[in-house]
Amino acid sequence: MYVLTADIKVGPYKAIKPAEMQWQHSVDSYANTASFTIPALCRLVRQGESYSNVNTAAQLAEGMPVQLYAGYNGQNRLVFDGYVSRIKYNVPLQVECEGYSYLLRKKIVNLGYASTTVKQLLNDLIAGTPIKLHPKTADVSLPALRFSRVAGTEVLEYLKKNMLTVTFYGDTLYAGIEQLPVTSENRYRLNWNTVGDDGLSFGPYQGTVVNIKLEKKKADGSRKRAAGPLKPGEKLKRVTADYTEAELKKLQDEQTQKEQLKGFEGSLTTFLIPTAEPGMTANITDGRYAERSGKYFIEEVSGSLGRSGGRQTLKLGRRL
Amino acid sequence: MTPAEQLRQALAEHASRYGPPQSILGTVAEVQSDAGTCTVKDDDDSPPYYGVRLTPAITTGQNLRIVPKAGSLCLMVRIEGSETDWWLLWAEEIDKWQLHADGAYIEADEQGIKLSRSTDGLREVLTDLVTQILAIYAPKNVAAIQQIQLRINQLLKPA
Repeated sequence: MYVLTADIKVGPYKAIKPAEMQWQHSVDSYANTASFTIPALCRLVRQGESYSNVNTAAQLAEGMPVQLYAGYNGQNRLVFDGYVSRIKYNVPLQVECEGYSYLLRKKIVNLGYASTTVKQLLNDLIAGTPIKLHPKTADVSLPALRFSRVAGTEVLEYLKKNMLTVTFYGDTLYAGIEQLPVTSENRYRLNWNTVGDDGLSFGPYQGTVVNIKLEKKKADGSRKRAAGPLKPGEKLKRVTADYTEAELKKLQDEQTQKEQLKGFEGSLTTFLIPTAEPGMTANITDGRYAERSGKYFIEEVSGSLGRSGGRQTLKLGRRL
Repeated sequence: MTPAEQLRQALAEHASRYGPPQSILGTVAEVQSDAGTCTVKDDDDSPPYYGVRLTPAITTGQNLRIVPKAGSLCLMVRIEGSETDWWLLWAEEIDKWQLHADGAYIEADEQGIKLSRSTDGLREVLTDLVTQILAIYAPKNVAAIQQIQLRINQLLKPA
Protein backbone atom coordinates (compact mmCIF):
# COMPACT_ATOMS: atom_id res chain seq x y z
CA MET A 1 0.00 0.00 0.00
CA TYR A 2 1.20 3.45 -0.89
CA VAL A 3 0.64 6.44 1.38
CA LEU A 4 1.00 9.86 -0.19
CA THR A 5 3.53 12.02 1.65
CA ALA A 6 4.99 15.47 1.09
CA ASP A 7 7.28 17.97 2.78
CA ILE A 8 7.92 21.62 2.29
CA LYS A 9 11.06 23.39 3.40
CA VAL A 10 10.55 27.11 3.40
CA GLY A 11 12.97 29.60 4.89
CA PRO A 12 14.01 28.38 8.32
CA TYR A 13 11.03 26.01 8.57
CA LYS A 14 11.44 22.36 7.79
CA ALA A 15 9.00 19.57 7.05
CA ILE A 16 5.78 21.58 6.72
CA LYS A 17 2.93 19.40 5.52
CA PRO A 18 0.91 21.00 2.72
CA ALA A 19 -2.81 20.61 2.09
CA GLU A 20 -2.18 20.88 -1.63
CA MET A 21 0.67 21.67 -3.95
CA GLN A 22 1.37 22.04 -7.67
CA TRP A 23 4.57 22.46 -9.66
CA GLN A 24 5.50 23.00 -13.29
CA HIS A 25 8.82 22.80 -15.19
CA SER A 26 9.31 23.20 -18.90
CA VAL A 27 12.21 23.30 -21.35
CA ASP A 28 10.35 26.06 -23.24
CA SER A 29 10.33 28.45 -20.29
CA TYR A 30 12.93 29.74 -17.88
CA ALA A 31 10.36 30.27 -15.14
CA ASN A 32 9.60 27.10 -13.19
CA THR A 33 6.60 27.66 -10.97
CA ALA A 34 4.92 26.03 -8.01
CA SER A 35 2.29 26.77 -5.42
CA PHE A 36 1.21 25.22 -2.17
CA THR A 37 -1.61 25.59 0.30
CA ILE A 38 -1.20 25.39 4.05
CA PRO A 39 -3.52 26.30 6.95
CA ALA A 40 -3.70 30.04 7.63
CA LEU A 41 -3.67 29.45 11.36
CA CYS A 42 -1.61 27.02 13.40
CA ARG A 43 -1.91 26.11 17.03
CA LEU A 44 1.15 25.40 19.05
CA VAL A 45 0.84 23.11 22.02
CA ARG A 46 2.75 24.37 24.96
CA GLN A 47 3.37 22.92 28.35
CA GLY A 48 0.27 22.04 30.20
CA GLU A 49 -2.87 22.47 28.18
CA SER A 50 -2.45 25.98 26.90
CA TYR A 51 -2.57 26.62 23.16
CA SER A 52 -1.27 29.59 21.29
CA ASN A 53 -2.39 30.63 17.82
CA VAL A 54 0.21 31.40 15.18
CA ASN A 55 -0.61 33.29 12.01
CA THR A 56 1.12 31.23 9.31
CA ALA A 57 1.30 34.07 6.78
CA ALA A 58 3.25 36.22 9.22
CA GLN A 59 5.96 33.53 9.40
CA LEU A 60 6.55 33.49 5.64
CA ALA A 61 7.99 36.21 3.46
CA GLU A 62 8.49 36.75 -0.24
CA GLY A 63 11.96 35.70 -1.33
CA MET A 64 12.34 32.84 1.17
CA PRO A 65 13.92 29.74 -0.38
CA VAL A 66 11.47 26.88 -0.91
CA GLN A 67 11.90 23.22 -1.64
CA LEU A 68 8.96 20.95 -2.33
CA TYR A 69 9.25 17.20 -1.85
CA ALA A 70 6.63 14.63 -2.79
CA GLY A 71 6.44 10.86 -2.88
CA TYR A 72 4.99 7.83 -1.16
CA ASN A 73 5.58 6.28 2.25
CA GLY A 74 7.98 9.01 3.31
CA GLN A 75 10.28 8.38 0.31
CA ASN A 76 9.97 11.97 -0.87
CA ARG A 77 11.84 13.32 -3.86
CA LEU A 78 12.62 16.92 -4.65
CA VAL A 79 10.05 18.19 -7.18
CA PHE A 80 10.66 21.94 -6.96
CA ASP A 81 13.48 24.21 -5.86
CA GLY A 82 13.01 27.97 -5.81
CA TYR A 83 11.72 30.96 -3.89
CA VAL A 84 8.45 32.32 -2.50
CA SER A 85 7.23 34.79 -5.12
CA ARG A 86 3.87 35.77 -3.67
CA ILE A 87 1.78 35.05 -0.59
CA LYS A 88 -1.98 35.10 -1.13
CA TYR A 89 -3.67 35.94 2.11
CA ASN A 90 -6.55 33.51 1.71
CA VAL A 91 -7.88 30.87 4.04
CA PRO A 92 -6.22 28.43 3.70
CA LEU A 93 -3.03 30.29 2.90
CA GLN A 94 -1.81 30.05 -0.70
CA VAL A 95 1.87 30.51 -1.45
CA GLU A 96 3.16 30.93 -4.99
CA CYS A 97 6.76 30.10 -5.83
CA GLU A 98 9.10 30.61 -8.75
CA GLY A 99 12.32 28.79 -9.60
CA TYR A 100 15.75 30.41 -9.66
CA SER A 101 14.52 32.87 -12.31
CA TYR A 102 12.92 34.69 -9.35
CA LEU A 103 16.39 35.94 -8.36
CA LEU A 104 16.91 37.39 -11.84
CA ARG A 105 13.41 38.90 -11.91
CA LYS A 106 14.29 40.78 -8.73
CA LYS A 107 17.81 41.72 -9.83
CA ILE A 108 18.13 45.05 -11.61
CA VAL A 109 20.97 44.95 -14.11
CA ASN A 110 22.96 47.72 -15.76
CA LEU A 111 25.09 46.06 -18.41
CA GLY A 112 26.71 47.41 -21.56
CA TYR A 113 29.11 45.83 -24.04
CA ALA A 114 30.88 46.87 -27.22
CA SER A 115 30.87 43.17 -28.09
CA THR A 116 30.36 40.07 -25.99
CA THR A 117 29.25 36.43 -25.98
CA VAL A 118 26.23 34.70 -24.51
CA LYS A 119 28.45 33.07 -21.88
CA GLN A 120 30.03 36.36 -20.79
CA LEU A 121 26.64 38.08 -20.67
CA LEU A 122 25.11 35.34 -18.53
CA ASN A 123 28.13 35.17 -16.23
CA ASP A 124 27.72 38.90 -15.55
CA LEU A 125 23.97 38.42 -15.13
CA ILE A 126 24.22 35.69 -12.50
CA ALA A 127 27.11 37.29 -10.60
CA GLY A 128 26.22 37.60 -6.92
CA THR A 129 23.47 34.95 -7.07
CA PRO A 130 23.69 31.23 -6.27
CA ILE A 131 22.73 30.45 -9.90
CA LYS A 132 25.22 28.33 -11.85
CA LEU A 133 25.82 28.41 -15.57
CA HIS A 134 25.46 25.17 -17.49
CA PRO A 135 28.81 24.16 -19.04
CA LYS A 136 27.13 23.57 -22.41
CA THR A 137 25.85 27.13 -22.62
CA ALA A 138 26.35 28.49 -26.15
CA ASP A 139 29.34 30.71 -26.87
CA VAL A 140 27.58 32.72 -29.56
CA SER A 141 28.95 36.21 -30.30
CA LEU A 142 26.66 39.12 -29.57
CA PRO A 143 26.75 42.64 -31.00
CA ALA A 144 26.97 45.89 -29.02
CA LEU A 145 24.39 45.44 -26.26
CA ARG A 146 22.94 47.54 -23.51
CA PHE A 147 20.58 46.66 -20.67
CA SER A 148 19.90 49.76 -18.68
CA ARG A 149 18.29 49.33 -15.27
CA VAL A 150 16.08 46.41 -16.28
CA ALA A 151 15.13 43.18 -14.53
CA GLY A 152 17.60 40.35 -15.15
CA THR A 153 14.87 38.34 -16.88
CA GLU A 154 14.94 40.94 -19.71
CA VAL A 155 18.37 39.55 -20.62
CA LEU A 156 16.86 36.05 -20.84
CA GLU A 157 14.00 37.43 -22.96
CA TYR A 158 16.54 38.99 -25.33
CA LEU A 159 18.22 35.60 -25.77
CA LYS A 160 14.86 33.91 -26.33
CA LYS A 161 14.02 36.50 -29.00
CA ASN A 162 17.24 35.43 -30.69
CA MET A 163 15.81 31.91 -30.85
CA LEU A 164 17.96 30.40 -28.11
CA THR A 165 16.55 27.79 -25.75
CA VAL A 166 16.72 29.33 -22.27
CA THR A 167 15.79 27.21 -19.30
CA PHE A 168 16.68 26.38 -15.72
CA TYR A 169 17.56 22.91 -14.50
CA GLY A 170 17.21 23.48 -10.76
CA ASP A 171 19.77 26.17 -9.96
CA THR A 172 21.59 25.78 -13.29
CA LEU A 173 20.85 28.13 -16.15
CA TYR A 174 21.17 26.86 -19.71
CA ALA A 175 21.03 28.93 -22.91
CA GLY A 176 21.87 27.27 -26.17
CA ILE A 177 21.01 26.63 -29.78
CA GLU A 178 19.88 23.09 -29.12
CA GLN A 179 17.93 21.40 -26.40
CA LEU A 180 20.28 19.49 -24.16
CA PRO A 181 20.70 15.78 -24.75
CA VAL A 182 18.35 13.64 -22.68
CA THR A 183 19.48 13.12 -19.12
CA SER A 184 17.86 9.82 -18.17
CA GLU A 185 14.96 7.56 -18.97
CA ASN A 186 11.67 6.66 -17.26
CA ARG A 187 9.77 3.58 -18.36
CA TYR A 188 5.99 3.74 -18.62
CA ARG A 189 3.62 0.92 -19.48
CA LEU A 190 0.21 2.35 -20.28
CA ASN A 191 -2.56 1.30 -17.83
CA TRP A 192 0.12 -0.27 -15.66
CA ASN A 193 2.17 2.47 -14.04
CA THR A 194 0.26 5.37 -15.65
CA VAL A 195 -3.04 6.99 -14.70
CA GLY A 196 -4.34 8.39 -17.98
CA ASP A 197 -3.32 8.49 -21.60
CA ASP A 198 -6.33 10.36 -23.05
CA GLY A 199 -4.05 13.27 -23.90
CA LEU A 200 -1.84 11.17 -26.13
CA SER A 201 -2.70 12.34 -29.63
CA PHE A 202 -0.42 10.29 -31.79
CA GLY A 203 -1.56 11.00 -35.32
CA PRO A 204 0.19 9.70 -38.40
CA TYR A 205 3.41 11.52 -39.15
CA GLN A 206 2.85 14.44 -41.46
CA GLY A 207 5.81 16.47 -42.58
CA THR A 208 5.24 20.03 -41.43
CA VAL A 209 6.39 22.84 -43.65
CA VAL A 210 8.23 25.31 -41.46
CA ASN A 211 7.63 28.79 -42.74
CA ILE A 212 10.15 30.72 -40.70
CA LYS A 213 13.55 31.63 -42.07
CA LEU A 214 16.22 33.24 -39.94
CA GLU A 215 18.21 36.20 -41.11
CA LYS A 216 20.92 38.44 -39.69
CA LYS A 217 21.41 41.83 -41.30
CA LYS A 218 25.07 42.75 -41.02
CA ALA A 219 26.55 46.20 -40.39
CA ASP A 220 27.51 46.57 -44.05
CA GLY A 221 23.86 46.09 -45.03
CA SER A 222 24.31 42.56 -46.42
CA ARG A 223 22.15 39.70 -45.19
CA LYS A 224 23.20 36.41 -43.69
CA ARG A 225 20.56 33.70 -44.04
CA ALA A 226 20.36 30.10 -42.98
CA ALA A 227 19.13 28.89 -46.35
CA GLY A 228 18.28 30.45 -49.70
CA PRO A 229 15.71 33.03 -50.71
CA LEU A 230 12.22 33.23 -49.24
CA LYS A 231 9.52 31.13 -50.84
CA PRO A 232 5.88 32.29 -50.98
CA GLY A 233 4.27 31.91 -47.56
CA GLU A 234 7.54 31.90 -45.67
CA LYS A 235 8.12 34.43 -42.96
CA LEU A 236 11.39 36.10 -42.14
CA LYS A 237 12.57 36.29 -38.56
CA ARG A 238 15.46 38.63 -38.00
CA VAL A 239 17.95 37.98 -35.22
CA THR A 240 20.53 40.39 -33.83
CA ALA A 241 23.06 37.92 -32.35
CA ASP A 242 26.15 37.44 -34.52
CA TYR A 243 25.41 33.87 -35.49
CA THR A 244 27.66 32.21 -38.03
CA GLU A 245 25.89 30.74 -41.04
CA ALA A 246 26.35 27.26 -39.53
CA GLU A 247 24.74 28.40 -36.27
CA LEU A 248 21.82 29.98 -38.14
CA LYS A 249 21.32 26.73 -40.01
CA LYS A 250 21.42 24.75 -36.77
CA LEU A 251 18.87 27.09 -35.14
CA GLN A 252 16.56 26.75 -38.11
CA ASP A 253 16.91 22.98 -38.15
CA GLU A 254 16.09 22.89 -34.44
CA GLN A 255 12.99 25.00 -35.10
CA THR A 256 11.99 22.74 -37.99
CA GLN A 257 12.40 19.67 -35.84
CA LYS A 258 10.23 21.17 -33.10
CA GLU A 259 7.47 22.04 -35.57
CA GLN A 260 7.57 18.65 -37.22
CA LEU A 261 6.89 16.94 -33.94
CA LYS A 262 3.46 18.41 -33.59
CA GLY A 263 1.83 15.32 -35.11
CA PHE A 264 3.18 13.29 -32.24
CA GLU A 265 2.68 15.53 -29.27
CA GLY A 266 0.62 14.49 -26.33
CA SER A 267 0.46 14.30 -22.61
CA LEU A 268 0.55 11.43 -20.22
CA THR A 269 -0.65 11.37 -16.63
CA THR A 270 1.39 9.30 -14.22
CA PHE A 271 1.85 8.72 -10.51
CA LEU A 272 4.52 10.57 -8.55
CA ILE A 273 6.94 7.72 -9.09
CA PRO A 274 8.99 7.58 -11.20
CA THR A 275 9.77 11.29 -10.84
CA ALA A 276 9.96 12.97 -14.23
CA GLU A 277 11.82 16.11 -15.24
CA PRO A 278 11.92 18.04 -18.50
CA GLY A 279 14.81 16.84 -20.61
CA MET A 280 14.28 13.16 -19.72
CA THR A 281 13.01 10.40 -22.00
CA ALA A 282 9.68 8.67 -21.54
CA ASN A 283 9.97 5.11 -22.80
CA ILE A 284 6.33 4.17 -23.41
CA THR A 285 5.04 0.66 -23.93
CA ASP A 286 1.47 0.33 -25.16
CA GLY A 287 0.07 -3.19 -25.32
CA ARG A 288 -3.04 -2.18 -27.29
CA TYR A 289 -1.68 0.29 -29.86
CA ALA A 290 1.84 -0.77 -30.62
CA GLU A 291 2.42 2.29 -32.84
CA ARG A 292 2.28 4.50 -29.73
CA SER A 293 5.15 2.64 -28.13
CA GLY A 294 8.48 4.40 -28.30
CA LYS A 295 10.76 6.89 -26.64
CA TYR A 296 9.66 10.49 -26.34
CA PHE A 297 11.36 13.64 -25.14
CA ILE A 298 9.68 15.09 -22.03
CA GLU A 299 9.19 18.83 -22.70
CA GLU A 300 7.19 19.78 -19.65
CA VAL A 301 6.21 18.28 -16.32
CA SER A 302 3.37 19.59 -14.22
CA GLY A 303 2.63 17.88 -10.97
CA SER A 304 -0.01 18.12 -8.30
CA LEU A 305 -0.57 16.68 -4.89
CA GLY A 306 -3.77 16.99 -2.89
CA ARG A 307 -6.59 15.16 -1.22
CA SER A 308 -7.39 13.35 -4.47
CA GLY A 309 -3.88 11.99 -4.85
CA GLY A 310 -0.58 12.81 -6.47
CA ARG A 311 -0.14 13.08 -10.21
CA GLN A 312 2.43 14.12 -12.79
CA THR A 313 1.38 15.21 -16.28
CA LEU A 314 4.13 14.89 -18.85
CA LYS A 315 3.99 16.89 -22.07
CA LEU A 316 5.76 14.83 -24.66
CA GLY A 317 7.73 16.23 -27.53
CA ARG A 318 9.80 14.67 -30.25
CA ARG A 319 10.02 10.93 -30.74
CA LEU A 320 13.57 9.80 -30.12
CA MET B 1 6.12 28.20 -31.42
CA THR B 2 3.93 27.46 -28.43
CA PRO B 3 0.67 29.46 -28.06
CA ALA B 4 2.31 31.36 -25.17
CA GLU B 5 5.23 32.37 -27.41
CA GLN B 6 2.88 33.37 -30.24
CA LEU B 7 0.88 35.52 -27.83
CA ARG B 8 4.08 37.08 -26.48
CA GLN B 9 5.29 37.87 -29.99
CA ALA B 10 1.94 39.41 -30.99
CA LEU B 11 1.93 41.57 -27.86
CA ALA B 12 5.54 42.62 -28.50
CA GLU B 13 4.66 43.64 -32.07
CA HIS B 14 1.70 45.64 -30.82
CA ALA B 15 3.73 47.25 -28.05
CA SER B 16 6.56 48.13 -30.43
CA ARG B 17 4.29 50.73 -32.04
CA TYR B 18 4.37 52.61 -28.76
CA GLY B 19 7.71 51.18 -27.66
CA PRO B 20 11.15 52.57 -26.86
CA PRO B 21 12.34 55.85 -28.39
CA GLN B 22 13.37 55.85 -32.04
CA SER B 23 15.92 58.61 -31.53
CA ILE B 24 18.06 59.68 -28.57
CA LEU B 25 19.81 62.96 -27.87
CA GLY B 26 23.06 62.10 -26.11
CA THR B 27 26.76 62.88 -25.84
CA VAL B 28 29.57 61.31 -27.89
CA ALA B 29 31.80 59.54 -25.38
CA GLU B 30 34.40 58.05 -27.72
CA VAL B 31 34.97 57.74 -31.46
CA GLN B 32 36.34 54.64 -33.21
CA SER B 33 37.06 56.38 -36.50
CA ASP B 34 38.68 53.36 -38.19
CA ALA B 35 35.82 51.06 -37.29
CA GLY B 36 33.30 53.70 -38.37
CA THR B 37 31.55 53.68 -35.01
CA CYS B 38 31.32 55.73 -31.84
CA THR B 39 30.08 55.33 -28.29
CA VAL B 40 27.22 57.53 -27.10
CA LYS B 41 26.19 58.22 -23.51
CA ASP B 42 22.59 58.98 -22.70
CA ASP B 43 23.04 59.59 -18.98
CA ASP B 44 25.72 58.91 -16.39
CA ASP B 45 23.77 56.18 -14.58
CA SER B 46 23.34 53.85 -17.54
CA PRO B 47 25.81 51.98 -19.71
CA PRO B 48 26.63 53.81 -22.95
CA TYR B 49 25.43 52.76 -26.39
CA TYR B 50 28.41 51.02 -28.00
CA GLY B 51 28.93 50.58 -31.73
CA VAL B 52 26.78 53.50 -32.89
CA ARG B 53 27.43 53.70 -36.63
CA LEU B 54 28.73 56.91 -38.20
CA THR B 55 27.02 55.90 -41.45
CA PRO B 56 23.85 53.81 -41.81
CA ALA B 57 25.89 50.92 -43.20
CA ILE B 58 29.58 50.40 -42.54
CA THR B 59 31.05 49.95 -46.02
CA THR B 60 34.30 51.09 -47.64
CA GLY B 61 32.68 53.45 -50.17
CA GLN B 62 30.96 56.28 -48.35
CA ASN B 63 29.84 59.49 -50.09
CA LEU B 64 29.48 61.49 -46.89
CA ARG B 65 31.09 60.70 -43.56
CA ILE B 66 31.05 62.95 -40.53
CA VAL B 67 33.31 62.04 -37.60
CA PRO B 68 31.99 63.67 -34.43
CA LYS B 69 34.11 65.18 -31.68
CA ALA B 70 34.18 63.33 -28.34
CA GLY B 71 32.10 65.24 -25.81
CA SER B 72 29.83 66.69 -28.47
CA LEU B 73 26.05 66.72 -28.21
CA CYS B 74 24.55 64.33 -30.78
CA LEU B 75 21.38 62.71 -32.04
CA MET B 76 21.22 59.05 -32.98
CA VAL B 77 18.38 57.12 -34.55
CA ARG B 78 17.44 53.44 -34.57
CA ILE B 79 18.06 51.49 -37.75
CA GLU B 80 14.97 49.56 -38.91
CA GLY B 81 13.57 49.45 -35.37
CA SER B 82 16.48 47.24 -34.27
CA GLU B 83 17.27 46.81 -30.58
CA THR B 84 20.99 47.03 -31.14
CA ASP B 85 21.70 49.09 -34.30
CA TRP B 86 21.94 52.89 -34.09
CA TRP B 87 23.12 55.57 -36.51
CA LEU B 88 24.59 58.92 -35.53
CA LEU B 89 22.48 61.43 -37.42
CA TRP B 90 23.87 64.71 -36.13
CA ALA B 91 26.66 66.01 -33.90
CA GLU B 92 27.06 69.54 -32.60
CA GLU B 93 30.85 69.54 -33.10
CA ILE B 94 32.79 67.47 -35.55
CA ASP B 95 36.41 66.37 -35.97
CA LYS B 96 36.26 65.54 -39.64
CA TRP B 97 33.94 65.88 -42.58
CA GLN B 98 34.52 63.85 -45.76
CA LEU B 99 32.67 64.01 -49.08
CA HIS B 100 33.32 61.65 -51.97
CA ALA B 101 31.67 62.22 -55.33
CA ASP B 102 32.83 59.96 -58.14
CA GLY B 103 36.56 60.67 -57.91
CA ALA B 104 36.20 64.15 -56.44
CA TYR B 105 36.99 64.42 -52.74
CA ILE B 106 36.68 67.09 -50.09
CA GLU B 107 37.87 66.67 -46.52
CA ALA B 108 37.89 69.23 -43.72
CA ASP B 109 39.39 68.91 -40.25
CA GLU B 110 41.52 71.02 -37.92
CA GLN B 111 44.61 70.34 -40.13
CA GLY B 112 42.96 72.13 -43.04
CA ILE B 113 40.95 71.40 -46.14
CA LYS B 114 41.76 68.79 -48.74
CA LEU B 115 40.24 69.18 -52.18
CA SER B 116 41.19 66.72 -54.88
CA ARG B 117 40.07 65.00 -58.03
CA SER B 118 41.74 61.78 -59.02
CA THR B 119 45.42 62.33 -57.99
CA ASP B 120 45.39 66.11 -58.38
CA GLY B 121 44.93 68.25 -55.29
CA LEU B 122 44.09 71.96 -55.05
CA ARG B 123 47.10 72.60 -52.82
CA GLU B 124 49.47 70.99 -55.31
CA VAL B 125 47.96 73.02 -58.20
CA LEU B 126 48.25 76.32 -56.33
CA THR B 127 51.79 75.47 -55.14
CA ASP B 128 52.81 74.74 -58.75
CA LEU B 129 51.25 78.03 -59.80
CA VAL B 130 53.22 79.98 -57.21
CA THR B 131 56.43 78.15 -58.14
CA GLN B 132 55.90 78.96 -61.82
CA ILE B 133 55.16 82.61 -61.07
CA LEU B 134 58.41 82.87 -59.10
CA ALA B 135 60.36 81.05 -61.85
CA ILE B 136 59.19 82.62 -65.11
CA TYR B 137 58.57 86.19 -64.10
CA ALA B 138 60.59 88.60 -62.00
CA PRO B 139 57.99 89.65 -59.49
CA LYS B 140 58.16 93.01 -57.81
CA ASN B 141 57.37 91.49 -54.47
CA VAL B 142 58.80 87.99 -53.99
CA ALA B 143 58.20 88.08 -50.23
CA ALA B 144 54.44 88.68 -50.74
CA ILE B 145 54.13 85.71 -53.11
CA GLN B 146 56.03 83.50 -50.69
CA GLN B 147 53.60 84.69 -48.02
CA ILE B 148 50.71 83.54 -50.27
CA GLN B 149 52.37 80.10 -50.53
CA LEU B 150 52.46 79.97 -46.73
CA ARG B 151 48.76 80.81 -46.53
CA ILE B 152 47.93 78.13 -49.11
CA ASN B 153 49.87 75.59 -47.03
CA GLN B 154 47.98 76.60 -43.90
CA LEU B 155 44.58 76.42 -45.55
CA LEU B 156 44.96 73.35 -47.73
CA LYS B 157 46.21 69.85 -47.03
CA PRO B 158 48.18 67.83 -49.60
CA ALA B 159 46.12 65.41 -51.70
